[in-house]
Amino acid sequence: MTSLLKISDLTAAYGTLTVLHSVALEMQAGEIIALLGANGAGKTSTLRAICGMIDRKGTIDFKGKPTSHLRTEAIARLGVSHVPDGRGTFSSLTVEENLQMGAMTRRSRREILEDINTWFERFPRLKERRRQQAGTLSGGEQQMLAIARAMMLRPDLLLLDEPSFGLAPQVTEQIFRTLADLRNSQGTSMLIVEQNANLALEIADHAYVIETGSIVMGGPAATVMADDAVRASYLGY
Amino acid sequence: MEFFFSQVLSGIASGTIYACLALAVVMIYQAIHHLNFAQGELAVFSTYLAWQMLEAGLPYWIVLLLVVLLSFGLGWFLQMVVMRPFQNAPMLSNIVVFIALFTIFNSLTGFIWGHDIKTFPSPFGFGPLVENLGISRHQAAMMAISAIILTILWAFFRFTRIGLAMRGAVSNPVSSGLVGVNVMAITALGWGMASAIGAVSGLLVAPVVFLEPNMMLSILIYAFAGAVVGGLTSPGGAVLGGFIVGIVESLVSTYVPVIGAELKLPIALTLIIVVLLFQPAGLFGRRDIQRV
Ligand SMILES: Nc1ncnc2c1ncn2[C@@H]1O[C@H](COP(=O)(O)OP(=O)(O)O)[C@@H](O)[C@H]1O
Ligand SMILES: [Mg+2]
Repeated sequence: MTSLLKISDLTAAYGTLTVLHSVALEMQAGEIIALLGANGAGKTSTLRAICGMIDRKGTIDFKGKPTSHLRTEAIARLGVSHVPDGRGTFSSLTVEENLQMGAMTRRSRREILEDINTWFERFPRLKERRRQQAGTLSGGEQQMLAIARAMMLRPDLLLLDEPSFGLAPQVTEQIFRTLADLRNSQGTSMLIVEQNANLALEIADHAYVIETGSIVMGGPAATVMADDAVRASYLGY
Repeated sequence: MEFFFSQVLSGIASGTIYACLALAVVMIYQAIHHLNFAQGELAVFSTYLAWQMLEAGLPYWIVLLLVVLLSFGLGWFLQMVVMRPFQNAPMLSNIVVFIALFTIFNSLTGFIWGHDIKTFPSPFGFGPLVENLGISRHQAAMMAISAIILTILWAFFRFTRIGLAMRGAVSNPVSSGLVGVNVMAITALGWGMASAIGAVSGLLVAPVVFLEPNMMLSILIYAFAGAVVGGLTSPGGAVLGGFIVGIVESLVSTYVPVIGAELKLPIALTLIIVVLLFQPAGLFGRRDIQRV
């Protein structure tokens, strides 16, 4: 069986500054993977490299297809969706238009409308604000919108960059409940980057730890969670 | 009162010209978030192409169609070949490229077609639309065509997916790529559309002001004023802004004797500054609200 995502020997750089060194990572369809690491370790850069948002070299195979030479929009069309660092809101568009942007790669208008309604049911706050400029939403609402927008693509792989960043605990909880629910109901595969390691490890099957641009540990979530160094550095107990 | 009314009408008439080009300016702004100084010179170039084809004996409407298509292609080409390397460059580099384009097209036009004034025909004629109204058939046609273009544009941005993609690409280019939008192609489409609209405005303006390489210079400043007054985010606002600028220009130069014809240009610039000071998003523009 081919892996959903198989990365090996991945190097990435901002101009002349290399920030990823020979990163390797693998995940199967239906899995949730957590990528943990301190601030500046290279988590965001790893997601950006997968999506072709920064210069990268190495192997990135998605569903068995090499993608490390493709442009961002082509990778999105293969079924990779990204909830980026900072949420990526289309702030001058309305909430509903943000969701329509998410479905740009799809054809059937009827299915798109159905999906929008499904997401409005899941997040009634977004429905109330459907005609409002998305930039006026609160942080939590924008995070919900970002996840809904990313899911509008009907992705085979969902990348999430610190979905809990800057959110109140109850909102964070709601976001992670939604993610767990998505996995259970639709089998969506996810690669989640989180500073809040406890939360991420709770729903992840596997976890990787990245330090200064290199993967230093990887394995089943329970194993990583039990590791003394990980507990000391990322779990705080 | 009747004199006042006729001055307003004359303002509306010249306002139509500004409105048409302001529309092209706003289109580009929607697609790339920069004011393109070279817009007017591109329009002049397109108009000369049309003049050449008319001289060759092609019928007006065929020429219009050909020039719109050619201008669209030229705008597309400029984005894909000339502007593309500057997509992540600082604002100043973009401005320098615009100035370069401005100079290149201005000189190219002068080099190919010379600097003497040429007359340009109007298919609508210059007779009065209605007796004693002070609006010619050509001016009326300009208004009608601007209204048609505006309606099409409004529908394009409001109802089509490509229109939405264009607004999205301006709002957040990075996220647009992430949802599968080819931002480069969308931007090129914006340039193409703006150049095509610019060509139409050039063809409409040329019969009124005569064709010469600097035809659009002062008109573009008024068009910028119109776009800024109306709001750079609002195609409808830009058109209204164009009319407002035309009327203000006409009234001020009539009723404020010291200003007269020579000082007309500063009126446009004053309008730009006043609007930017008190209503930076323009009268009808939308201010992007951002919450972090
Ligand atoms: N746009 C950028 N330009 C240059 N360097 C960057 C940029 N973004 C991140 N970096 C650098 O890349 C390294 C990894 O950053 P990042 O991937 O954002 O880490 P993380 O997401 O784990 O906090 C850091 O040293 C950071 O300073
Ligand atoms: Mg980060």
